[in-house]
Formats: sequence, structure tokens, C-alpha cells
Amino acid sequence: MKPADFAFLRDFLRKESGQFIEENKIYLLKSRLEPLARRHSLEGLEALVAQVKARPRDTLARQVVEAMTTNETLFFRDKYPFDALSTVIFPELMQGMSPNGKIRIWSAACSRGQETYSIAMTAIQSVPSAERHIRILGTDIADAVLAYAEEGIYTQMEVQRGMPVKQLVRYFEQHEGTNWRIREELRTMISFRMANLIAADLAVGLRMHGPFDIVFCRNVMIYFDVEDRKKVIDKIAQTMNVGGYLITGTGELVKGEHSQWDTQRFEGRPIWKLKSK
Amino acid sequence: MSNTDEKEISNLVSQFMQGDFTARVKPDSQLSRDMNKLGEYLEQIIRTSTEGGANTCMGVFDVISSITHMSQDISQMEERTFAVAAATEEMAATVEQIVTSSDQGDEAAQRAMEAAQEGAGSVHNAVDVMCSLKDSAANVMKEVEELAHFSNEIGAIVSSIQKIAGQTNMLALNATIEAARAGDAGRGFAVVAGEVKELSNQTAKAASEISEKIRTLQNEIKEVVNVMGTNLELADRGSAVADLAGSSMQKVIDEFREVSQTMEHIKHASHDQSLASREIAERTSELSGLVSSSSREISGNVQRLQAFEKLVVSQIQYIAQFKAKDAVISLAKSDHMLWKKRLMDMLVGLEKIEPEDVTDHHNCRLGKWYYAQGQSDFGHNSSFIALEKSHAQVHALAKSAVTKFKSGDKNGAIADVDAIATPSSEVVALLTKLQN
Repeated sequence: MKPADFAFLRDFLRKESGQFIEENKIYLLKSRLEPLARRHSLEGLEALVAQVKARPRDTLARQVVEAMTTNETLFFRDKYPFDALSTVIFPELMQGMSPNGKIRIWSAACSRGQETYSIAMTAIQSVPSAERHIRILGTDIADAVLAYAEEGIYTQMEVQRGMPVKQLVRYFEQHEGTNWRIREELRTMISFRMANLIAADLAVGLRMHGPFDIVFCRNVMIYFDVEDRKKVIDKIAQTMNVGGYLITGTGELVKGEHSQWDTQRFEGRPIWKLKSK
Repeated sequence: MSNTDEKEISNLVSQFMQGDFTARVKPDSQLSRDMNKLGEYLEQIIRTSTEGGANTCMGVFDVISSITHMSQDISQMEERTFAVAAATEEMAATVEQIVTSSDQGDEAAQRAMEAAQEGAGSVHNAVDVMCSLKDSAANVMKEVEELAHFSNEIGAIVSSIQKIAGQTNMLALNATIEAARAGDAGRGFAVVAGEVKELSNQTAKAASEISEKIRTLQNEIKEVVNVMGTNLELADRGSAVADLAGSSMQKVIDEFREVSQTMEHIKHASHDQSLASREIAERTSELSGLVSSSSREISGNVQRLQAFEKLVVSQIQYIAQFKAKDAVISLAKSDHMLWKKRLMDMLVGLEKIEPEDVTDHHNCRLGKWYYAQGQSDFGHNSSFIALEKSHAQVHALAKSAVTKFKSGDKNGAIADVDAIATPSSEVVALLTKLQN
């Protein structure tokens, strides 16, 4: 790969999605973008880069950004966030809630929707009349994975990763052989839409779905550099109610520049509570 | 004896031309015998071609079904390696995160160590101060004891002054008595003796006042000594406590050194791990690419083989138009194979079959032959008799599979198609026996 092409892709991705690619990740560019180039009958990465350079607002450029995202996710990933929801966060938020009160949850960078549906399953099991009180928004930067999440059909391998059999039988139905489709009762409290975490107008775009009481933003910021992380955390704070909870990946260091957070520990892992914006 | 005439030979040729090679004429001339031989020869060609076609067909089918299996396996493998590659990529990113955290932890541990060392310095200073405080308190004590000693000496001097004053008073009294005895001549002396007495009284009074002051002074000094003693004790204790603090601080420093060293190990280990996980991620990503390209290759092969299979099938269909004795046996083998393939295609959604498309085992090509020509040719052959049961099973299972599939019971249909394998290979084996 030519250094100029690498530099272009690095800057392009950082600007478009916040993904921070260093030179040791050239292999990733190759393995993710070469198949894309092939699909568009382009001769290798050089031609692909030339196309993106010429038309950075085109579908192909969007597909480059999407192809570079790592859509690693599984049901009930890491388990503890869902235990925290049912034992600490939901009980606290439900206290003194009015009969039509809502708990608004944002599953940011939801990928194929496993996290979003895991939140919904947890809600149904721990919040009475969850369908009336719980609203969940799943967002991602990649259209393809969002369409997948919306369809809610998972392969055998996907449901085997992380999902207890009890939940599988209760909330899924078999679909065309070995696939599984999420049941309707979970869908009613969920909506999906596209959102870019580093977009300047993120908070504006999500206004009609918020303000959020709970935000899941896990294993996304590990792909950003430190400056972008701070910005993203501040933007997330803008979409939240003071006192709301943010759950990140365990190793992800957050704390914004302007927003203020208290650290609460759940099973030794940090959970963030918004003190002030 | 009339020889077969030209018309009969011509009829035979036209039957041959219509594809019926089973026709014969009376073998009563060289020409008619040669014509019958030609018929046998043509039949043999058809039988061999049909058998060859059937075998090719079955071979291709075997390859296709195995390669289709492989293709399904590899596409599952593709899905899994893709997932592994994504998981590994995320792991590598998380490890990078751990590297950052452990770097920060290492720095923090070093800062803590520096702070503890600073703290230890302060404690050392405190210990020094406590020691000099203790020393100076001991010095003061010594001085005060000296003072007490001096005041005792002053007390002794005062009591000797009091003694002198007493003696002076006694002398003055004697002098007054002697002066009275001397009469007028001693009057002046008596005045002096009186003055002396007065002086000795004043001296005694002053000495007793001094003695009183000295006693008070001694009491005060005793008090001071007491307080100094307490101070000294406190200073002692203070310096012991400061010593203890000093050694605690040393422990803190030692522990922090341990923490700092461990953090440094973690830091280096996480850097190494980061390199390793990057390597793993890179290789996994390559692997995923390789599996994808194999998957593409294989599905290309499947398509090419399917085209080839079509070719073979059309060839068999062409040959099947020709009538030759027992050719139906070869055709029956490939017929059943092709049916099995259709059922499998149905399972993966490539073919639509209605239950009424599946004939009864009397009405397929083999069935029609079995219950007519076959019966008369092989009726007593044990393989021929055994054939009926297996053949009927194949048809029953096929019908059941199609019916189940149509009603949505895909797993039941799959089980039926799998179960066909046994009776179907029995049919093929029995047919082969018949041919021999």
C-alpha cells in the first residue's frame, strides 16, 4: 500500500467515523477493503482510494467506513452490565416513577443489535409493564448492520454466543431452519436508527429519542484516540439526564473535558453516573 | 424354404433407425444373421453407453454432494472465522487499551514511590527534631539540678549566718551585763552592746527571711524538676514514635517499590502481549480472507460441476431414447440418483416438488419394467425379488419427504432424505448384481 493512500485512508476514517488507524493496521485496511474493491470490480486498493478521493460523499465512501468498523458483539456481553441494570439501575429509576413515566435507554454503536435486544430482555424481566415504561434506541454508523438488527434474525452461531437457552426459547422463534427470529414483544420497545458518534450534531439528531437515563457505549471508544474519546463522552453527556448512567467497556477510560461523572462500582467494574453536563 | 425378403430387412433397418435395437429377423440367411448381429452390437453399444452414463452420473452426483457439503462447511467456517477475526480485532484493540492503562499505572506507581520517599524524608527530619528536643530537655534538667544544688549551699550559708547572729546576740547580752557591772564607766559601752544586739536581731530576721525564700525556691525547683522529668519522658516517647513512623515509612517505600516493579512488569508484559495480539489479529484476518477465497472457489466449482451434471443427464436422456434389452437397469440407477439430488435441492430451496410429482414405485421407469418385462426376464432371480422392497421404500420415503417439506416440517423432510440413502444404495447394488 502506498504511503499516500494509507495517509488518505487514515485521515478519511478519522474524520468520518473517529476510527484511529495506525500503520500497524495496514493489514486491516487490506483485509476489509480488498473484498469491497472486488465487489465493485475495482483493481485493488489504489483504485478504491482514487474513487473515494474523487467522490467522498458517494455510497462507496460510506461502504469504506462501514467495512472498517469491527462488528464484534454478542448477547449479554460481559454479563455484569445487565446484572447492574436489573439489580441497581432499573430499581433506582423506577422509584417514584409516574404511571406513564419512561426510562429511555440508548444502545450506542449497537452493531447487529445483540446488545439492544439483551437490554430489552433484561427490562422485560425486571421492570413491571416494561413495554409501557421502557424505550430503547439502538444506533450504529453502519447501515448494513442496522438493517440486520432491525430484521432481528440471527444465525445459530450468533444465538449460541452469550445467550442462555432459557432466554433463547422465551424470546426467539425458529426461522427457516437453523436461524432464530426475535419475538414481536421485544421489538415494540425498540427502534433503530443511524447515528455517528463523532458527528457535531449528534445530540440534536437524537433529541426526539432522549434525554436518556441509561446509555450503553461499549467497546467503541477503544478504536478512537484520546481526544476523540473525550469529545464523544461530552456529547453523550449532552443527550442524558443528570443522574443518568453510562456503561462503557471495563477498560475504556472516559471522563470528558466538560462533563462531570461519578464513578460507581458494580462487581468491581466502573459505571458512570452523570453529575453535571 | 423362403429366405427373409428385402421388405423384412428394410423393416428391421427402419426399426433400428427409430431407435429400437431389440428388433430381429428370422436368421435364415447370411444377411439376416448379419443384421441380427448388428442389432446385438447396437444393443451392446447402448447398454455400455447407458451404463457408462449412469456411472458418470452417479460419480458426478457423489462429487457434487460431497463438494456441496464441503461448500456448506466452508461457508460456516467462513462465518466463524469472520467472527473470530472480528473478536480478535476487538481483543487487540482492548489490549492496546490495557497497554495505555498499565503505562499510566506504572507512572502513578512511580509518582507514589517518589511521594513516599519524600514522606520518609519528612519523617526523618521529625525524628532528628525530636532527638534534639530530648537532648536539650536533658541539658535543662542538668542545669536545674545544679541550681537546686546551689540553693542548698545557700541554705547552709544562711544557717551559719543565723548561728553567728545567735552567738552575736549572746555576746551582746554578756557585754550589756559586764557594762552594767562597770557602772557609769560602762554606760557608753552598754549603748554599743545594745546596738550590737539590735544588729544581731536584724541579721537573724534577714537570715530567716532568706531561709524562707530559699525553701520556696527549692520547692519551685522541685516542681521544675518534676515538669522537666515529664517533658523528658514525652520527648523520649516522641522520638520513639517518630522512629516507628520512620520504619513504617520505610515499609511503605518497600511496598511501593514492589508495586512499582510489578506495574513495570505488567507494563512490559502488556506491551509484549499487544505485539502478540496484533500478530494474531493480522494472521486471523489473513485466514479469514483465505477461507473466503476458498469458499468462492468452491462455490465456483459447484456451479461448474452442476453444468457438467446437466450435460451428463442430457446425454443419458438422449441414449434412453434407444431401445436395448436391459438398458433400463442402468437407467434406473441414474434415475434414482437424480431423484435423490432433486430432493436435496428441494431441501436447500433450489427445486420445488409437489407430492403428486413423486410416483408410486409401480409407475417409474424401473417400476414399469419390473412389473412387466423384468418379471419375465428375471422373475426367479433372488436379487430381482429383493429389489421390490428397497425400491418401494425409496418411493415411500421420497413421498413422505416432499409431503413433510410442503407442510413446513423441514427437519422431518431432512431425516427422510437422509434415510433414503440405505434403500437407494441397496437398489443400485441389486441392479448391478442383475447386470452381472
